[in-house]
Amino acid sequence: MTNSAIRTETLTKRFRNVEALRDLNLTVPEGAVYALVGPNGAGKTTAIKILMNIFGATLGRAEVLGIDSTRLRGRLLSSIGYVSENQEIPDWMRVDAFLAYLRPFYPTWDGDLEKELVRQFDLPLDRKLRDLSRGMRVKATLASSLAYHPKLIVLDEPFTGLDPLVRDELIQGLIDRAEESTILISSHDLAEVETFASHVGYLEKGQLRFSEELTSLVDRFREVELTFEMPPALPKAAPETWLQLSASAAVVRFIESRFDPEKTNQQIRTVLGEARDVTFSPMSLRSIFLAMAKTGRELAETTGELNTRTAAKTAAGTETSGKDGEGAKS
Amino acid sequence: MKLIIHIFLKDVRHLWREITVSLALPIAYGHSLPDSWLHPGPRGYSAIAGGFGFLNLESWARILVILVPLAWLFTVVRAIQSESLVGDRQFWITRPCDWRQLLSAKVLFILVFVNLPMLILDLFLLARAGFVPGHYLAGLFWMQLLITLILLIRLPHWLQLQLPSSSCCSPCSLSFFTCWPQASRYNACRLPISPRMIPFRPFS
Repeated sequence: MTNSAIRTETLTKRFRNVEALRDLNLTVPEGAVYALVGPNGAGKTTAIKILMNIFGATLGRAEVLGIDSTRLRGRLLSSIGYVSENQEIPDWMRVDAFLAYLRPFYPTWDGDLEKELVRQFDLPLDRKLRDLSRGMRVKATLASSLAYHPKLIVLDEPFTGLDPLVRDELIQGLIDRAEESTILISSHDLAEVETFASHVGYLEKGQLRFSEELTSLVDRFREVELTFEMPPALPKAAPETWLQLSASAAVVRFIESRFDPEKTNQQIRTVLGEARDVTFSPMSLRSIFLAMAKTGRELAETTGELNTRTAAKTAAGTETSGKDGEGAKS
Repeated sequence: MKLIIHIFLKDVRHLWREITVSLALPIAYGHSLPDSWLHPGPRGYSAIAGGFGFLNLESWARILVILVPLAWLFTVVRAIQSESLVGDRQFWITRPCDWRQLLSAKVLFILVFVNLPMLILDLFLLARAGFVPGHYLAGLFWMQLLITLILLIRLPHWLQLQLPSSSCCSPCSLSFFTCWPQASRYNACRLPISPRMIPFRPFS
């Protein structure tokens, strides 16, 4: 069993009457590139801020690199790199002064790596941070968070508002360091995340809907298209693992969230009868995310908040864990 | 200690303009005030104030007594706001920098750029008035302590909570500026004019 770089137990955060996080049980294995995805207001930033001890949890606990997150301050942060879109940086500094200022804080600061990162990110050392574009600022912050070989890199929405070229450079910078670090990244940019994430967790309304290896997630989601001889009657109660069931004349479409060739075929025959043509198409992370988000929203509209949580949990197959058993249950 | 000095030097580099002004004003004050004792009334013009034409020495000294604490206050607020201790977006809170190191660096900043100039100014003015500064050290240190406490604890904390920027137009800062001249006047009343007071003209 692999060790975990991050582990949370029933982590809950309330801001007065608003519950930003509810019973979050998250495990990020050491060496993983873990993508925490979810719609706006899902609680991603809140979770990350609790992990970084920026603020405390209302209930539950979190461990980061084996240390209780509430003790995470001072020197203990020297093995963690944190980059956030919301972070205020000393923008009056020039890039070289910024890096020079941070150098003495980190015993493991690597001057050669710093130079390599400056070259790789094409950072203008003689310019003030406030004069840089947003992408350049993110790159400068990332360079300052990678130059000391952190064991854990935490990135909160780093790609927001960046052009594809800068995103590519950032991702390449991360991939180059992925072997020596664990990376936790929260992002909306699923297409980018999919290219390098090893694990993915889907957070919605403060709850973790699923958390597993990306390969297993992609394996269990399929877009199913069935063609019948005659338009079939859609069942009132479709299997819970079928999302977004719809029919157009003789063609029925849905998303299977727990795909198993034999079992799914059997279910189709039982529920809809014999189809003339059956197509199972693999889905991208973005399509899976959209299907999950839409299902959650539709259910919220029709059955109310409480039912949504139960139904979406079942539909998403939250019982599924990562292959190494490190996935979390919601 | 190394990191405290590192943070302190960073603040010095960042705030060199504010520091220059906050050091220049006490020097001007130290130059003008003794001159105004020797040449009271509308005809007394100093080398500095004379440049403005319409200001006599007393008026100039009265303006400086406001400007000096204002400059100190502004410099301290700027130093503290560059790394605020409160809030959740600060750059340093996710870096291996302890708040005690930060606080120590800010205290060092205040000691070097507020307390030390203030002490030198007080000692200089006492000497220019013909007193023996050594006799008043206890009182001077007590005043230093009070001013430091105001600057370090109450005022910046209040400003941090109340103000989005380094604006100084607040009831607290206004009360500070009102109290400062009153306190200075009070101290001045307690000090009799020394017969040994001698003219001092470094710029003439």
